[in-house]
Amino acid sequence: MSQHTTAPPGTESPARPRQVGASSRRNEDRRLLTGEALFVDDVHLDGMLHAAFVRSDYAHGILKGVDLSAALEHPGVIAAYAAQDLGDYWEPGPLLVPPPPIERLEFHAATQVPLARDKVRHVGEPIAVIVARSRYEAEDGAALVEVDIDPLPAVSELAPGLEPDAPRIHDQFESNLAAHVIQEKGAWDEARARAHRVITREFVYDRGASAPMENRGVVANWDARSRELTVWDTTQAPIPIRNGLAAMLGLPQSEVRVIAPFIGGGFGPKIMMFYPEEVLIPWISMRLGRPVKWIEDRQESFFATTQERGQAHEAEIAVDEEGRILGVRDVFLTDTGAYNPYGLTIPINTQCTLLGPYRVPNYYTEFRMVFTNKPICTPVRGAGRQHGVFVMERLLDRAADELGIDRVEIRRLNYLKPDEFPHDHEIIFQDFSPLVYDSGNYAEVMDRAAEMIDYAGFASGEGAAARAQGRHVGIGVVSYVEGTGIGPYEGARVTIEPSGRVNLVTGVGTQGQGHFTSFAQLVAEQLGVGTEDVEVVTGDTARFAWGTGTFASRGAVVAGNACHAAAVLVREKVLALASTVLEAAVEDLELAHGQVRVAGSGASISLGDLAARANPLRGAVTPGAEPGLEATAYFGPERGATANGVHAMILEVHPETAEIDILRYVVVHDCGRVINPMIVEGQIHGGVAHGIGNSYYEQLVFDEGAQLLNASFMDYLLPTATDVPTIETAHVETPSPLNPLGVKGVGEAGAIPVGALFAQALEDALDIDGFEVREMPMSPNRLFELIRDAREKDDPC
Amino acid sequence: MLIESEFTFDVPREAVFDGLMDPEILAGALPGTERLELTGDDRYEGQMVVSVGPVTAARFAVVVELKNRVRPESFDMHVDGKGKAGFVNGIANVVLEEKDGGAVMKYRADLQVGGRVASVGQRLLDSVGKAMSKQGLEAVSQSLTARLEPATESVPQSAAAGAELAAASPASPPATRRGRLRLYLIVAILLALVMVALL
Repeated sequence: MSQHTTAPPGTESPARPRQVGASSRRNEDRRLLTGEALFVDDVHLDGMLHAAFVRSDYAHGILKGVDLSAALEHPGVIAAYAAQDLGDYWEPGPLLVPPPPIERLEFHAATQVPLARDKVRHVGEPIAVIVARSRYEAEDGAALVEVDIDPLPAVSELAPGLEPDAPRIHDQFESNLAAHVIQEKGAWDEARARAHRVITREFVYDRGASAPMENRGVVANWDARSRELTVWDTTQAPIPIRNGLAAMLGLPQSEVRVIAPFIGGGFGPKIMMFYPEEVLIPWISMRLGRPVKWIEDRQESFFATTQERGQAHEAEIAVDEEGRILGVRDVFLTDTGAYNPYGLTIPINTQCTLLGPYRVPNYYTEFRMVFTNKPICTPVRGAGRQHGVFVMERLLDRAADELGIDRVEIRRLNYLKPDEFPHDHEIIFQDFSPLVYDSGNYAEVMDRAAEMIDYAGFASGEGAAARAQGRHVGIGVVSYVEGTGIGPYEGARVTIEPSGRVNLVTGVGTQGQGHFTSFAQLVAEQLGVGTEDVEVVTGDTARFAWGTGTFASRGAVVAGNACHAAAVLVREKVLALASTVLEAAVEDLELAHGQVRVAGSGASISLGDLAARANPLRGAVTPGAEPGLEATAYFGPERGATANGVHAMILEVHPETAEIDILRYVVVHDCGRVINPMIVEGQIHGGVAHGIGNSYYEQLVFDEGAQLLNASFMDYLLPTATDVPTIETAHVETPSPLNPLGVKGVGEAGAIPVGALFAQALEDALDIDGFEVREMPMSPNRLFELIRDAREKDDPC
Repeated sequence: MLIESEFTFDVPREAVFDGLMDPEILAGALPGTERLELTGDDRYEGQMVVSVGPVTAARFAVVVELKNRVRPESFDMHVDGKGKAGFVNGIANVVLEEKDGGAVMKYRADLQVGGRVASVGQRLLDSVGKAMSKQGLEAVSQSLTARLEPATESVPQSAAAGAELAAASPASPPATRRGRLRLYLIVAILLALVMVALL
């Protein structure tokens, strides 16, 4: 279900069908649905070997020895390597994101290593790699490796990890403090002093997995004769991987080709770069002169793929009598796991996203990042934004309660107004730029959502009716903003083939976002062809070698605008050439249905014929002219575009069993100009499903020794199709002024506010004095405990 | 992870201790122990095979050291088990108390379990462990009761049991073969209890 509150841009005319704004069917689906799409595990090469990793069972310990001799004798095993076998190649990975320029910032970098050498620092950390003729033999070989580890006490909790007597994870540092950052705006203390009310709460957000359908995998093939290393990698960033591997292996970048083919879900952890396996498999292929494959199994994925979300907040909000926010103070701990290669992206997102769509004149935000003996944390869909939204929305809910104001009203009261943009929040965002919102119309988004879910009528209508029947049905409504589409840049190349088909190549990898369609739409729009006539290639460094990757909801914004820019340039070439060929003025030409036509006359030429003419075999061309109808363009925004939205749900809770039913779920979203509403809705649906998982099902449970206790889908619950409701969506479009298309990102949006929404709806449904949700994720069990505790307090008899 | 439980025997404490040293009684309560050897003073090494849900027939190399042995009242056992499926290490404390002519065995193990056993077997550890340890201990209890039934008819029997216990007390030299065997068996059963409770 979908509605548009503003008409799609432009008007449709039969002469020139609009592509941008249309819900075009996805170009890639035929390949995906018929099994023709290439995934990394589909790569089979002659003589290919298979690798298996020996991983630590211990969360923390001294690695005293690794004995590979029995493994090497095992039939089928070709080679085996431990850290000492890597020689100079053994080196900690790069710091992917250095700390932003924030005053007084303290940061201690400790990046992951290819194989543990002196110490193991989390369960699942790789210790050795076994290479054999088959995966079976490699696994059997791995089982024969003798690993001698002296266990050390482990750090599994955040606050205890910072105690002076806590076990130290990195000996080079004085403590487990990985970073300490304070950002301030205005004067919190003064705001607090003159507040009508100050509300203080503690909040906890725990870890979850990204759980993509396809685990990670790498195939590498070094061909000494052609001097080319080809690497198929489930990465969201093929170009930086190519550049990094070339440097590590001492090869020119031109001799390394990284292909990120179809990928079965990324969600962030596949943007984490230079995983041990990513670094080792190419090296082994070069050493052995044979192709080598490694595919992560599901259990490995629970340890070896990065995770997210451990944070503990102490937050305060100061409000005046009417409910206006005077200031917010938030001090939190954030878990980075055993290493911190991704820098401060997650906690800085938390700091920035907490402010939401609200006017917050005074803000004090401080965090400490803590090393723990758990798998590494890097961004997972939302990347710290969930936590900020949870804290702010929960504080506003409490303020509304204490002041006796309606939940929606307190939000409306504090929204930034459309004439307040650009709005400078005076703190630094993850892209190192000041946090300045570009555009938005928050009240309209809220009005739309409230209307769709009938917020005004719920309490006296459906809610009252349910209550009369003894049912517990509640409503929730929350707001959020999302910084999206950050730089530095992406590029694209558009070529019209002599067949008339259009080829579009861009450097970003694609993990299911619909790039093959939305990028095609942008190009088709300019060239007057059908979306299905544009062939899109992504994620192959041999085809396009400049760019950064797919992250931070930036594909459509940054790569999309590069595609658009390249298409505009090709359009100019088309018009110039057609003007000569058709002997007509450029202004009189129109592009539609693969033809260039002279308006008002029958004269026309196809794009294919023009392309052929642009690349003559004989004859003279104008000196300095470029051949073909081709152009390359780049786009880099000044800073990220701020998307926003409101999610609303009607939730039924069965207090006896702590089971839930989501009766309705409404998303009104503003991601600027919408390229393809169906794809945007698909992104939102996936995000909401992810958010529902993070709110009620998915939690990685570690014991006090930092052992993960639910590393399988038997115990780690993902929401199933029956847990995800029909999602009703509507789009509000406030175009971003930061890019020519006016688009904002949407990839993470669906997942971000679900925890805050779920908490509010739970409280409304149960309506028990003292029942308050201050932690995420909930689970049936945890919800049951909270209900029981609140009822005991409410009614001690 | 902390495992704490107790089990009540309807037979006197001395007889429980005595019985715990009898291989016939113990046989039924020692699942999974393939081998256990004395390799030093109060130190045992051996191998166990255990299955926890999806972790099937996992072999653990086990080292156990007995500490703070106060016969017939209590032991500490330092357990260190490692295998392809993970590891178990920690300390288990076992106490036998007299109660209404019977004996209450209290055991408390503070253990770190790691690797695959923890990460995929976790869900089953608690319930399966409890059920299995109860079964094992009930088997011991039944055997002891059966053995003591004829004995209750004659007065001298308990005196004999007491004498036997005295012979095995720390005051007597533990270097005899029989003493070693008994110690071995006690270690074996307690180890089995810990592993069973765990797995």
